[in-house]
Amino acid sequence: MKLKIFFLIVLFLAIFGDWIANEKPLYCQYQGKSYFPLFEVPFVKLGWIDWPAAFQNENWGNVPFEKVVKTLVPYSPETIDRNNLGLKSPFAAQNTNGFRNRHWMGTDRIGRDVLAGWIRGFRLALGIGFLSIFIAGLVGIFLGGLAGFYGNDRFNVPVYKAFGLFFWIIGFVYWMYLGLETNGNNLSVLIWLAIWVFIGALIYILPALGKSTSLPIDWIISLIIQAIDAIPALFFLLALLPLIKNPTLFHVIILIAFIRWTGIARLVRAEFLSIRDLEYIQAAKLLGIKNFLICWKHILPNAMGSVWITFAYSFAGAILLEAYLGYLGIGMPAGTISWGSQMQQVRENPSAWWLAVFPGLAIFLILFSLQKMGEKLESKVS
Amino acid sequence: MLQSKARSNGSFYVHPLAAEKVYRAEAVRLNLDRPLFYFAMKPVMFPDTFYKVQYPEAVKVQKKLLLATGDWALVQTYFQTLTAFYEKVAQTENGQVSIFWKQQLQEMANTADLSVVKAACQASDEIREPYIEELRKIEGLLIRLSYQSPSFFSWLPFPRWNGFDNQFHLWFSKIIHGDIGISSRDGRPVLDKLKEAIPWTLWVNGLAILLAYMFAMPVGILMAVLPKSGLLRWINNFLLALYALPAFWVGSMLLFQATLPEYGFSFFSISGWSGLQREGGFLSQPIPFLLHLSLPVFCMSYGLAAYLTSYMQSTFSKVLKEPYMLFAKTKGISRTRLYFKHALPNALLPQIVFVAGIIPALITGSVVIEVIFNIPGMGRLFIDSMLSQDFTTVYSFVLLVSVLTAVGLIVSDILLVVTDPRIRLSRENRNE
Repeated sequence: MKLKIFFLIVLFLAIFGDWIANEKPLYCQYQGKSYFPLFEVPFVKLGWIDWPAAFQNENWGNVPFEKVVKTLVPYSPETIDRNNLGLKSPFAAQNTNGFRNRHWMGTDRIGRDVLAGWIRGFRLALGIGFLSIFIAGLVGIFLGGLAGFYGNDRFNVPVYKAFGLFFWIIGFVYWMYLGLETNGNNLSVLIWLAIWVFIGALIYILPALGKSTSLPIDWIISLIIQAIDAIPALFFLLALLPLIKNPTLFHVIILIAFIRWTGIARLVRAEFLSIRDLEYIQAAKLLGIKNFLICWKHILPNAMGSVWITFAYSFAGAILLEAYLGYLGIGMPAGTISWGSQMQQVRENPSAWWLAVFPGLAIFLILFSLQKMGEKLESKVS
Repeated sequence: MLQSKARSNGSFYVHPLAAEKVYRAEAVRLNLDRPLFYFAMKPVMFPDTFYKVQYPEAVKVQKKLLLATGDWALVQTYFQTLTAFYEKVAQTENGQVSIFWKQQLQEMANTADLSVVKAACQASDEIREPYIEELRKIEGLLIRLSYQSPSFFSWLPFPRWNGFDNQFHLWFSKIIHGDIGISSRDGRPVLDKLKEAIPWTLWVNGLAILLAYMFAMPVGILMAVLPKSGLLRWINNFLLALYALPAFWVGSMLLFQATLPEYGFSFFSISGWSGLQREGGFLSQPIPFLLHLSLPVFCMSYGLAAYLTSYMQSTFSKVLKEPYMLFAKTKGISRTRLYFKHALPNALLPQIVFVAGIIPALITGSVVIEVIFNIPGMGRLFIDSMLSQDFTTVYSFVLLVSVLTAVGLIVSDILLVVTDPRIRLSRENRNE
């Protein structure tokens, strides 16, 4: 119950963080007209609402409003408060306009509000964690299920189809690559691609003639998993990131997913292996239910119990990985405000404890509650 | 790597048409002037010698032109003409005129868009006059290029055998002979750098593992033996919290609060690592050495200790529930004998296997700890090399770590078989 409330608060901060900490007021009256600047941004961009010139100004604190209702924290993470430059402690005297505008968690070196950045950190950590684990889950469940369900000896295909498929995939990658290189406007390449897709369809449709062979699909997938697991996660991430020219958050998410899917896949594979020979699955097979439906409707729901546990742990791992990256200052796009990047500033300014304590506390609380949740799920499953 | 070399080669600016020469000389020095792999699959229109173009921008532009025209000889003639033009401009210092043409040539060399090139050729007759021959030639080539297009069948893939004189073969045969390359940052062999860094990482990790086990064994056993109570649940929660406490947070807070003289903890000094190393490390001055390592080792070990304690607790209490323990108890063996003779060996089994499995996680954790405490170990070497784009070191390092991990996994498998005679590695076993 406590855990649920905690996660709800975290989720709330992650989703509505920008409405809690923002320099734009919720409501204001300026030159006799009413505005809702925080909610009007998309409409202004579309040109449906016109803002007075004073609003185009960077600094919202200086606009002489007649009436104003500010957000809970009247700063955006990027807002630079020129009156409070250079690491103002939360307890020190701050040069702010009244109690309302105080920096409750202090400011950093260039005068940004730490509390606003801290709230933004929730969105970043949760977003990266959730998206990467979502992708990792999709890939992991698919490949792990494939390996577990078919094993080494149940994926039966005719020999010519196996070879055909192998060469067809190589060719398809080749034509797709050429298509991208020519921006898809070269007619010959497009014709070749169409021919290739047609050949693929032909291989698929042709009847199963001749001898059948079992593709060692479990062996192949296990080999891939072992190869990825052989390199520690952070090294893998740090070795792959420089290969990308201008890394964005999307790249970081994809890379974390690429590293994290193996754990999920291994678990799903083990679960599928133990479930696939149970009697009710055999009965389903005898009834002539298709393999995909057996996996989706009958095996996966039973396997998900322990998969949720790995999700919890992987989520914690992804958040920690994101914090590492921010702390080391590698891979994240320049100017990204995260807990890691806030803590990184402490390395240059040892006395600014508030830059370390609050972000670290957030990471700790989230990791702790995720572990706790994992533990609870574990006891529920067993 | 090449880029930074070319940049440091005298001037900051190298004209794209002059860069090729610089790059090629550097590539010959670094053995990069050969194909990448034993074989390659490229469209028929690509020549065997495409890898010989070294300057990345030139590769991009020439590839695009080739894909648009399908005539490698023509593309090469075009680029040679441009280069010859540039060389003539560079030789005949013509004041404003040559500066103008240098700029135009830079534009021409960096684009595969023929209309842009054509526009760059346009200028008043006065400026065109000194180089009219080259310009006419280029314009002629442009017309020929714009009328060419690859035939339908020249898009087909064509596998080519590159022979053994390729980059991969060279790199791999060197690795096999123990030569993992030379750092492009300071020109020292990567092996030497790694040799210097490894002892530090081993010290930190080894001490952390030792400390964690010294804590986890007794506490874990005690927790398994004690009756279940509210206190035990609190201890469990505390251990979970300890495990969730990010080490780099604790590390950075400790570093700045516990090493400042104002707090009276200045003896936990964390500077002067290389001095310690030069003077012989642990053997010559063990106490300062261990004091130096105390904070990082603490940061590394507390999470591990917490994890191991609850692991030990669960395995030990599982063993206590086994029927043979009941049998031993009914025989009337003393408690200490029961726990240490019968339960402990069986509970230790998974622990032994666990050590080998956590090596990768430990090395990952030690990266951040080493960066925080400025320890010149493998983690910091990795980060430093990465930030200075010293990829020879980075990838040798990844290779080393992955080999270590694989060895650790194999060792844990072997340990499992050695310590537990019930386990047999057979084909049926692996399929289950």
